Parts: sequence; C-alpha cells; structure tokens
Amino acid sequence: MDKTLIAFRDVWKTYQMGEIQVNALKEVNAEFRKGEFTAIIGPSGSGKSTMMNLVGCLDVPSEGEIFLKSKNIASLEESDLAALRGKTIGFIFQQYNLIPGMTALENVLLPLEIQEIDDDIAEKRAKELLTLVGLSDKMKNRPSQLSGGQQQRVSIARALASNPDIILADEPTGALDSVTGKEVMTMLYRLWKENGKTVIMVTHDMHLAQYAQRHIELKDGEVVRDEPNQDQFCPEY
Amino acid sequence: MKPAKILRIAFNMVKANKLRSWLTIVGVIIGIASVMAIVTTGEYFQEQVTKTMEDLGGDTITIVASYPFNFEDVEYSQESISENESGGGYGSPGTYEEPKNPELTRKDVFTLRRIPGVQYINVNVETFADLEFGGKKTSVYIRGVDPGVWPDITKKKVGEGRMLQPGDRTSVVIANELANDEALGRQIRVNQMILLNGKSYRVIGILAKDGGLLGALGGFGNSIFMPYEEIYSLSTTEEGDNGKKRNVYDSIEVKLYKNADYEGTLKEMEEVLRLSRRVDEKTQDFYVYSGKENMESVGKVISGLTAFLAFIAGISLLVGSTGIANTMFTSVLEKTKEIGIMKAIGAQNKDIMLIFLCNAAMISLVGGIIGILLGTAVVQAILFLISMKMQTPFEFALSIKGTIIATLVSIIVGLIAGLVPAKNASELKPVDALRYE
Repeated sequence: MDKTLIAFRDVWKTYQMGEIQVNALKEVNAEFRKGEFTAIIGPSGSGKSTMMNLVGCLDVPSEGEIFLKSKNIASLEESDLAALRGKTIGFIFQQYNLIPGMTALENVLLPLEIQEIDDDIAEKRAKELLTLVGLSDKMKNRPSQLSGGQQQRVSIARALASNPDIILADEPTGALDSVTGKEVMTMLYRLWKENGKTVIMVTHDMHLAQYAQRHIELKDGEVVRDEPNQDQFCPEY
Repeated sequence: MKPAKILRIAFNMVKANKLRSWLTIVGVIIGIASVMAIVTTGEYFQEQVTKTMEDLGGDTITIVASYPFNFEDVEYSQESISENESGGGYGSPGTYEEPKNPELTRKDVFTLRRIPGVQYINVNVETFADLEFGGKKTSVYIRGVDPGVWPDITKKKVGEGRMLQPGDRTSVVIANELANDEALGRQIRVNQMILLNGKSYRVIGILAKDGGLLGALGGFGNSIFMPYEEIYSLSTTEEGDNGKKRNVYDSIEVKLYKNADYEGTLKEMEEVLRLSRRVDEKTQDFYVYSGKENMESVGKVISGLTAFLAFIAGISLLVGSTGIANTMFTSVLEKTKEIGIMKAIGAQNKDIMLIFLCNAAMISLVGGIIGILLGTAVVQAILFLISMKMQTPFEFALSIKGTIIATLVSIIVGLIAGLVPAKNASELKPVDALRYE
C-alpha cells in the first residue's frame, strides 16, 4: 500500500511583489509519508512558510502539482479544499490562532461543528482532548485568560479534534519560553510516537528539528537536503 | 455547519462588540421609529382635517351672491336691471348704472328645489349683534337658518336642550363657547332668556363642544343660531336697521341625496341658476362653492407633506442601514484573521458568509423590533399630546403601511448592506486572511 500522503511534483510558487516576480519555491519535489515526523527547516526567506501553506492546502501552487491523498489540490474547488483540509489536516500555529471570543472548549469544538459532528459526540471528544493536553480545568477560559503554553495546548487539542491524518505545526514553540516550548514539543513527539500521527513541522530552530525523524532543508526556494535525521532526539516523559 | 452553530457564532460576534452593535442598532431604531411616527401622524392629521372639513359642511354646496369676476366689462342694460328688480330691487334707473349688489332670493330657492338631486335647501342670513345676559354684554355672531332644514344638514350636535324646529320664532341655539363665555360672568343655561340688541330670546339648546381641529381652534366661538325670519326684525345697532332685506339671503346651502351625481348636479345648479337669473358665464353674479373640492385639495396637501416628511425620515432609515454596512465592513476587517483560522480548520465559504449575514440580520432585526416598539410608543405620545391640545379623546393609532415599509426597508437594506462584506469575507484566501494582523 502506498503510504504517501502528500506529494509535491515540480512545484513552483511565484509571488508578484510590485514589478518583481519572486520565486518562493522552485521546482520542489517531495513526499510525506504516513506516520512520518518531518521537519522542514531553513533560514527565513527560504520558502518554509510557502511550503507549509501548500502542504496545508491554504494555498495552491503556481505551477506543478500537489497531491493530497492522491487528489490534485489545484483541481479542487475552494469548498472541497476546505472540507478536505478540515478532515485531513490539523494546524498548530506559532501564534496559536485561537478565536479570542470563544472559550477553550468552544475553540476545540469549532472544527467538529464545522464538520457537523453530533453535539454529544463532539463535546465528549473536545473534553477528552483538553484533558489529554492537561487543561481539563481551563475549559471555560478564554484565550486571554490562558498562558502562551496553555493556549498552544488548546491549539494542539483543536488540531487533533477532527482526528486528522496530518498535524501541521508552524514554529509551534516560537512564541514560548524554553520550558513550555519543551512541553509542547514533547506533546507533539508523543502524538507521533504513540498515536501514529503524521507530523510535519516547519521551523528555523535546529534544536526543535532534532525531534523529527526526517529533515527537509530549504534554501532560496529549493530543497537542498532531504534525508533522515540520524540523531533524532527522544524526550523523556 | 449547522444553522444553530452559525447563529451562535454570529450572536457571539454581536455580543463581542456590544458598544458597536448597539450603536448600529440605535441607527436602525431611529430610522424605523421616525418613519413610523411621521407616517402615522401624517395619516392621523389627514383624517382629522378631513373630519373637520366635513364638520364645516364638507359635502354641502354653498351658493353666495357675488359680483361677476369681470364686472367692469359687463354692460348693464336698462332691461336687465328692471328684470332683476323683482328679485330684490335697488339701483335707480338712469343713464349710467353702478353694477348692482347681487342677491340671493326665494326665487333662487325655488329654482334649486326643482333639481332632482337636491335633498335639502337651507338659507342663511348672518349678522352681528350685542348680547345682554345677567347685566353684562358681549358681541355675538348670529346665523339665521331655516329651522326646518338646518338641524338635518348641520354636523353640529346639540349638547343640552334641543335643536331648532319648524315653528320656532324667538328661540335660539347657542354655541358651547358662548354658553361658557367668561365675559358674561356666568354660564347661560337652557331655557334662560337672553337679550339680542334689546330683544328677548329663549335659549332652547346649547351645542356640544366641537371636536377635532375645530375644537382646538376654539370652534365657532360666540355664535347663535336662530330662525332666519327673526334676523330681519333684529336691528343691529341703536341707529336702527341692520341692512337685511326680507327674503334676501346671504347664502343658500344645498345638500344632495347620497346617491346623487355630485359633479353633474353641481353643474346643473349653475346652469339653472344662470337661466333663472338671466346671466351667462361672463356675467354670472353668484358663486357655487363646494366644500368637497376644498377637502380634496387639503387632503392632497397633507398627503404631500406626509410624503415629504416620510422621505426625510426615510433618509434616516438609509443612514441607519449604511450604519449596518459600516459595522459589517469593520467587523469583516476586524475578523479577517478569525476568518482565516476558521477556513484553515475547514470552514467553507458559505459558512463564513452565513455567519456574517446572520450577524447583519440580528442587528437589523433587533433594531427593527425595538424600532417598532419605540415607534409605536412615540406615535402614541405624539397623538396623546395632539388629542390633549385638541381636547379630543385619545385613540390608539398606528399606520400599518408605515410600519411594514419601515421594517421591510430596514431589514432588506440591512441584509444587503451585510451581504457585500459577508461575501468579501467568505472569498478571502485563507493564506491571506491568516497573515492579516
């Protein structure tokens, strides 16, 4: 069975910046397989974020093809893309991106509500996930009443809510102190290790990248390195 | 997404920015309430004025004698003068004739009586006199009427005592205002005697107070109604004669049968009177005045005024609606990032669109409901003040038309105003929306 979840085929992404054309990605070829923990690394401006947007189906390539579960995302309508995104990918953002007007529980419930999951089931699952990330006592709190680490944990719970195949993390510890950052990374590691999730993490921090089993390094929009991480760091928990 | 969830999210959005939502709602409220108040008050006034005009004899036709409009061009032949002398008789025969004072006489009444549509004919002779009562004096207006006809055609109602009736001679009916005239020191009651220019009359009836606008304007004030025959023997001043000639009337009032052809009969009246008075259109020495036309033109003025005011109020409704649009645009801008987040976690365009549309609908609906309630209250307050001023009983009134239009406009404009930003929001690319700070 083909374990490829996402495949990039000669992908170009071009932005128009005034009169200049910027090639954010140049002929990128890559595959992400089920159950892998991959880190996309590179300095800023290397095309990491662009790649992450494409992996997350938030954007479509200028040229080339991207297959998500063997569907070419360029050929999908926005609403189908949204549905596919909702079921397949769970996002963890650097700035958490929680909805400020909603409680922790409501934030975790949101993806389930979007998918029209029955209320009882949705609520049970959201509570389970918040308990899993250690926030069972903060469910009624709004993001503003939570610390950065707690917010990121809510966002992890939200990413897991619709039981997606892929967890896509964009600099997940970028806004956190080192201790909390470690906690979050351990959580991601466990999700990969124990729950068999496919984790794709975008980072410029080589320490974080050590948690991953595979590194894809970008430079100036091109993949300069794509190899397994020999020294994968296994946190204790 | 399920509708219930969309509604909840939209409601939370309204709640999240309470002040802005309320300010927007206030805009809608003012728009709706002002349209309702103006339209209802306008309609109420129209009704009141129409009623007052009817009280003033709206559908009765009045004929008065008048100089021809262009009498200078008219040559009065010797013959026509002698003809007319039988009717009233004045102006001495001579080579040069002043245009005569045209008169209405019994002959005209007989002429009019032959017209099929005519039901009642009343004659009026008017004069002023001094009233003496309880040793005090005041000046009064006296209208001599046909006691057998006037009670049937007048809109006035008797409050105490009775109306005039055929055979009455030295009996009078007085206006309510006169009965309570402070200048006289004490109230005039039914069956009391009053002196008019020194002649004694019995008060047999006191009219009820005028309602509506007329009452507010003081009604007819010091007026007295008596059989017209009596006027001739009533001398106005101490010098003697009041200048009223027997069987000459100041005006003739005609009331038609309900089913009569109003316009046709009006025309016919003019024609037969011209024939009998031997005048043509140019030399016509009488004027047929129909209150109905007046009523219609006043009605037109009021409805025009109402439409104009409603237009002004409509502008405030429009301003309220652009308030919704403004709020919506602002909240789309403010929520751009949230839209991106929701899209990232799977929300579809239609979900986003519905959320923002529901947001707009809630604001316009709440504004609409409060606007209707407030508008109703304001209208009642206005009508209450008016009725207090006019001393008429307060009646609940609400223009259904005004209410429906105001509400529909606010909701429709509110939704349209919400639709554009909602559509913009839904079409944001998730990657752009997420990047928005």
